[in-house]
Amino acid sequence: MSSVTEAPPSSLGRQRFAPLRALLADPFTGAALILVAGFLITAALAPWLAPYSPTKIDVLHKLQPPSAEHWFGTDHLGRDLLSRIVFGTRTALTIAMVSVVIAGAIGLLLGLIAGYGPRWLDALLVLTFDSLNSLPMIMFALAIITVLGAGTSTLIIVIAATSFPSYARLIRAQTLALKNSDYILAERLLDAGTVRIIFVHLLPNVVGPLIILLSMDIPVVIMVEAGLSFLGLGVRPPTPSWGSILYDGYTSIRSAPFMVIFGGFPLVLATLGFTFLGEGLRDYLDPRLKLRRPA
Amino acid sequence: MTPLLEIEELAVTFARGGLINRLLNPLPLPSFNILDGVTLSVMPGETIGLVGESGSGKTTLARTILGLVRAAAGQIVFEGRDVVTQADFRAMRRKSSMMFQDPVASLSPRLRIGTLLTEPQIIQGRPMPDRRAAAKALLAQVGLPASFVDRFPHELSGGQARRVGVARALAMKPNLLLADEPTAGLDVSVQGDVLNLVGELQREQGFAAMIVTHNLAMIRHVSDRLAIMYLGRLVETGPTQEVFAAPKHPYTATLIRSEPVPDPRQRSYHLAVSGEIPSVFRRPSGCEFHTRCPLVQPRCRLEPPAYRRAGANRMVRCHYPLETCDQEKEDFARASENKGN
Repeated sequence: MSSVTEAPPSSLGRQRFAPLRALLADPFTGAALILVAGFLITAALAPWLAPYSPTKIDVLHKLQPPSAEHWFGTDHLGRDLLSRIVFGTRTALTIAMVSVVIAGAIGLLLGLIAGYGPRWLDALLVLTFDSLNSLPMIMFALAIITVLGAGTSTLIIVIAATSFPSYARLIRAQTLALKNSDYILAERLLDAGTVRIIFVHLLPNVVGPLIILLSMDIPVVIMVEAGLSFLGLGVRPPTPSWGSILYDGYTSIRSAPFMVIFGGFPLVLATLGFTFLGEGLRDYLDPRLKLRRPA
Repeated sequence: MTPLLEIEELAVTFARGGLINRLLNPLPLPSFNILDGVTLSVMPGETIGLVGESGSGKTTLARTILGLVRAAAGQIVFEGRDVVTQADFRAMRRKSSMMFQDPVASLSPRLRIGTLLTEPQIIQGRPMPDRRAAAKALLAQVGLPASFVDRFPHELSGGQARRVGVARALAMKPNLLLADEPTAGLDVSVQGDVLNLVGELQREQGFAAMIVTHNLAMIRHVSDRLAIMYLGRLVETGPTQEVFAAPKHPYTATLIRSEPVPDPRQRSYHLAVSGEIPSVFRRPSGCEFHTRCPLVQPRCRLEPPAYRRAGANRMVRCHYPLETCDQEKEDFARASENKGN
């Protein structure tokens, strides 16, 4: 019997950090990675990083401009703005990540079921996705908030419920494309169960584009959270949130413009960071989608 | 000896149009026979070559046998038992394996070779104390190094992936192996390796093999019997050597003659099949091959020929089967002259 000779083992040491290297090779992605890491660290270490309590009211020192004591100044209740922004990072990232992960998980599961399941189930699920997608988000948010009351968990429910249909549609399309591929047929011939085919064979092959989409949606969700909080429909005061900081700043924009500036800055940075990270991930994971970015 | 697999008058039809079309149209929509009246039996341990052009229904036949495509009519009997329900097909699949045309694409891309090799046993609930060792044993059986257990399918060459496919197909010790173009996309030396490997394992384990191919040079050396398909129907079956020596159906003859012969003096006549295989959506009247047959007669255009016995172990679907090798030569020579050259 003939045998196949083995290729010499490639140097593993260099390969280990290859993905990180590839990601950092692009300056936008590298910067984005640093930004996102910064936000994550800030969120995780908020109680140690913030110089003051974000909710401690000190009306005597309200609306103070930036100083050595209060780097970003104080708001209309005399709370330290820097501390509120630091804790606001925590709020923003928690809501964004939890709701995106929940929406992603629901979308993944329903998309796989719609794509691989029987046709009537597919039709039913697609109808559900389309109906949910057709609801205007703000109106839907208002309705849910009226029923459940404003708050962090309501916000997460609203965001998850409005964003999972697009994830499900993506996964469904991917699943449909793979459903009749040779290896799925081969598994069916081996009598692999539906659960096994879906979770062992389909899931790992459809999840890539979803991860990219999720990371690119995090800034959108942060914006939605800030927007709803700005409208007073988001997190409840006194919980610090970038949106409510902006709202408070907006009411006193003439006397203390620094509030809006400092409150808006992290929002812009987070949006940029997550967006570029998502694009970098997309280019790295799926080179076929690579768009030519002006050099 | 009872046949391992018997197929009787198997037909597969695809209907055009979906549910809405069917509701709007009072008349039954036309359906199209992808396979029609396929009758074939496979003896235990024998190798049967299923030959035909692209679009002749070879792959569909293989898939229908294992229940991936639903048959519209006909009968499948496996090991003396009728295969009708899904449970029957499941039981049959446990004793048979299929190798797909593309060796890399038929391996789940995110799983390692070791996992893929042992998956059949895991699925069928066979106890396996040491998965890794079992995978290595299977790799050794097909002549691949043990270190391949940790590789991914895309890290293998076509020939290596094919060997993995062989190991996976034969891990369950099947009685029947269906191989769809086992040599497609491999270079000639690797084709030889793979076929020798399958042949050796077949001698060891005694399974029957049905090899779907259009590679005549290859099938001539590995099969005991040939079944020639044209447009979803069998046009000729018989022992390989006899079919090659004296084809009965003009289609078989043209197929065999269109294979290049590495000897210039042998090419006294040659008449390749011209044109494309017709679409199953517009089946020619009468004998399906009449549009391309070099020996076509008026009767062929009107009357479909029956699939009938032509010699001891031969079957043919032709009004005017070729009788002898000499006659075939004469007829073809005349036909090529008539074509006007």
